[in-house]
Amino acid sequence: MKISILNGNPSPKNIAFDSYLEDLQSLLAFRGHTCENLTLRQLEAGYCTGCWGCWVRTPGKCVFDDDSHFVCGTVINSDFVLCASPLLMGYVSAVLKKFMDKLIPLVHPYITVDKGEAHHRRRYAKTAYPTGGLLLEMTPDSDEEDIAIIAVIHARTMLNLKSRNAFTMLTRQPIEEVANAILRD
Amino acid sequence: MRYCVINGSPRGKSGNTEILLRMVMDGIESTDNAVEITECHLNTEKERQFSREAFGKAEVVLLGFPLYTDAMPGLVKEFIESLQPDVGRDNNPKMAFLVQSGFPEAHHSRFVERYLEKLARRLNAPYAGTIVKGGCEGVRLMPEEMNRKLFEGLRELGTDLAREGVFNPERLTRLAKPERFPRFLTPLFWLILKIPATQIYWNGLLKNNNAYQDRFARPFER
Repeated sequence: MKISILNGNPSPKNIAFDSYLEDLQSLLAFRGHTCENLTLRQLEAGYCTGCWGCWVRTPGKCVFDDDSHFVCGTVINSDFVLCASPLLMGYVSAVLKKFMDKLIPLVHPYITVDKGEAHHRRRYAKTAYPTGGLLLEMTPDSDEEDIAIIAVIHARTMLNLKSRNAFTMLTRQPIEEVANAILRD
Repeated sequence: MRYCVINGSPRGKSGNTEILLRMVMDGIESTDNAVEITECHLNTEKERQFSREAFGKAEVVLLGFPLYTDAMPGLVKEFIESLQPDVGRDNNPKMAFLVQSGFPEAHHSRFVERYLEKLARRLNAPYAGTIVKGGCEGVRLMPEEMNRKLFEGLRELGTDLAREGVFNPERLTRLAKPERFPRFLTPLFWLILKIPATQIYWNGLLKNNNAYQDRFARPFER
C-alpha cells in the first residue's frame, strides 16, 4: 500500500508532532508499506489565487511552477492520504489548508451529480483517488465540538476529491492505532 | 457604528465576493444610523496586516470569502490564526460572515458555517449570522438584471445588520435557496449535464487559452 502523509505542522518547535508522524512512517514502512511524509512548511507554494488556470490554461496542474505539483503527484499516486495538523483556532493549519486548496487540479471543472449534489467531475481514473484520513493534535483551546466540525468538513473535502474519509483521529491515540486504521482500509 | 468589512477572496477586488459584500455594505449605509466602514482585503501580506489592525478597532466585523475545498481559503485561515491573541478577550467585535460558492446549492457551505459560528464563540464575540449563497461564480459576468433579486436580498440583509444587529434568519434562508436539490431530480440533472451547452463557460475559457484539446489531461499519472 502507498501512503502519503501531509504534515501540516507550521512550527518546527512542535517537535512532538513531527516525531509522531516520523514514528508512524517508520511503523508503516516496517510493516512493508511505502510511506511518504511531506513536511508542508518546508515546501514552496503560494496560496491559490482562484485564477482557474489549473483548469483552463494548463489543465491538471497549477500554472505556477511550485511544489503543489509535487504534492498533487504524490497524492494522486497514493492509496491513502493522511492529512495531519495541530488544531489552530479550531481548524487545520493555514499551511495544510493552502496545499489542500491546491489539490483542485486533481478534479475537472465540469460539474457532475454525485449523491444528489453538484460536484466536480473526476480527472483521473476512478481508482486513482486515495482514501483519506485526518489526524489532529488537540491544543488547550480546542474541544470535542471542534473535532466534530472539522471531521465533517474533511469528509466533504474527500467526497469532492472523489473519495471518502476513513477516520478522524487524534495524536493522543497510540501510533499503532492510527497505523491499523490506515491499513484496515 | 464602526464596521470592518473583510474580503477574504484570493481574487481580491476583482472577484465575486467583492460584489456581494458591496451590496451588503450598501444596505448598511442605507440606514439613518451613523456608520463608518473600513474595507479590507486579505490577498497580500500587507493587506492581512491592515485587516488585523482594522479588526481590533471595529465594533462589527463582516468577513466574506468564496468556498475553497469545503471551507475558507488558506489565506483566510492564516488571517484567522492571527486572531489567536484575541481569544478570551472581552471586547471583541460582533462577527458576521458571508460564504459564497460556485456550486449551485447552498448545502456545500453549511459545514463551514458551523465552524464560523464556533469561531465567534471562541472569540467570545456576538454572532450576527452567516450569509450563504451558491451559484455565484457567474455574478461578475451576469447582466445587472440577472443579479437583481440576489443584490436586493443582500442589501436587505445589510439593513437588518445595521438596524437589528443581526441578519434576519428568514431572509438568510430565502436568499440561500436552492438549499439542496430533491433527490428525484438527479436523473434530470444527468440529462441536462449531457448537453454540451452546460459546460459552455469552461469550454469558452479553455478554447481562449488553446487548452481545450488538453482539458482531460492527467499530468501526474504514473
